[in-house]
Amino acid sequence: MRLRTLLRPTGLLAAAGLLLLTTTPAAGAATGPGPGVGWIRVGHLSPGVPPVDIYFAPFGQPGKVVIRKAGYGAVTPYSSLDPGRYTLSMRPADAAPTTAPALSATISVEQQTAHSLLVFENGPDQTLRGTLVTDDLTAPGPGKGRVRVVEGSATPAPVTVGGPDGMALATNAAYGDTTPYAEVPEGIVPVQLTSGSVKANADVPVAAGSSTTLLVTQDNGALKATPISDGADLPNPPKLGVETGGGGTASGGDHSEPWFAAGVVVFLLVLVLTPLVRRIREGRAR
Amino acid sequence: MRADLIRACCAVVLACAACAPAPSTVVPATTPASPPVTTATEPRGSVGPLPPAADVSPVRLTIPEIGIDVRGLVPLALGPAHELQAPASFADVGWYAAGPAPGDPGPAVIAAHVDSRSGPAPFFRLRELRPGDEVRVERSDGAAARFVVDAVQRYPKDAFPTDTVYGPAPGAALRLITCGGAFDAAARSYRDNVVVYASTRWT
Repeated sequence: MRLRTLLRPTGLLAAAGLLLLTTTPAAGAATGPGPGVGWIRVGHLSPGVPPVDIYFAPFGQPGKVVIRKAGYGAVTPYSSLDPGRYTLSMRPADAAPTTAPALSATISVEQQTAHSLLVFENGPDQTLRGTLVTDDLTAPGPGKGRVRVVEGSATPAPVTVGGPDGMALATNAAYGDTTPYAEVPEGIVPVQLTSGSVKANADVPVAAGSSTTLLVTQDNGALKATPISDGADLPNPPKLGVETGGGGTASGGDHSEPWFAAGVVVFLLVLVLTPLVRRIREGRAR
Repeated sequence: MRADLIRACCAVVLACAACAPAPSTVVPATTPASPPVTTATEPRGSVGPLPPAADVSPVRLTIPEIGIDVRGLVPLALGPAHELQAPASFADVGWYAAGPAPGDPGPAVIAAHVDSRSGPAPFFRLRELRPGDEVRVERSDGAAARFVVDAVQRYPKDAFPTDTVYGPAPGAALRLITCGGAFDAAARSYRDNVVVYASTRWT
């Protein structure tokens, strides 16, 4: 009798429905946005200005020191930020936070952007001036990297920067200039800095998929070139998703193994077919 | 491109023009209009080969919020379909060794299983992370990188946004990846991937 109860079609359908539930994908996963942050960094490119402390806060809030004693030529690491308005200020190193800042800027950060706030002494009467440059967030061509020049040398200036095979990365760049990016092949890129009779050489490592700023600074009448990273992509990025699960905690646990599903189907078939066969036999017997 | 630049430049506003010791201003960047051109600069030759990259790897992953403290990460490579291969052992945490090491500029990738065939695996609680949570990575060179979670997303594997997840990042970024969503018993595979985006911050 118990078998008969199980054989009712409603029970059969319910069992089949249960099986379907564990294999039907759940709704809700959407191709959503990425991280939704922007990036900022700050560079001290004022040779006549002693080291500074860099203060930072969301707009309207009291600034907190985020970088201490950044001297001439220093560029901070990038910080990611939620989109919004922020205030960046600089005070002489160890000055009280209550003192008036030497420079203060309010920056509006949007997602998927990167900027460098570079501080030069090129305002009126050699006052400090912050220049916000846009940093590259696009991938260079296959096997290539990008290089640009930030001219941070007040004397000597202007500066011409020659790249590999006669390529010019900067031509008579004035103090405070940022050149557009130039694409170069991956490798050690030889560069030559020239300002009048002052010359200097540098070798700049450039990886494919990366962007580099070549920072030109003055050093007791000489020129110095320092490469800093403007970011990198993932060389040879994977495609598709990642198979990182065995299903042991999925709804149904081990029951989601395929042999179990097959087993359930066989069991249901036996349940349905057995009485049919029996009825047919009984019918024949009569 | 140019419109973007102008918009970005306009975003800077002068906030303090009367500060000691001298007035300061913030101005938009001025970039030369012409692209680089070939000149008579004394050439120094051609681009030479890069030396082998420094062999830096992550050695410890700590995510206090979900009780993860794993030592001994395993390197991960790409499979035949150019897909990122999961750690061979359900118990391991792996990192994509062809990408940047966590803490270097660009998107570093760390992946682990959400479960084995019998129970939870290291990234079982990854989906519980929320923006602002902390992720720490110790490296073989002794450096330590601290990341802050920016977002937690779930993507169907058949619509995995490769460019979003693996696209360029200016600073040090981290992508933690595991499985999520419904389990497809026939394919023995979860339908979705959970991706945690994290990045380095000053504060």
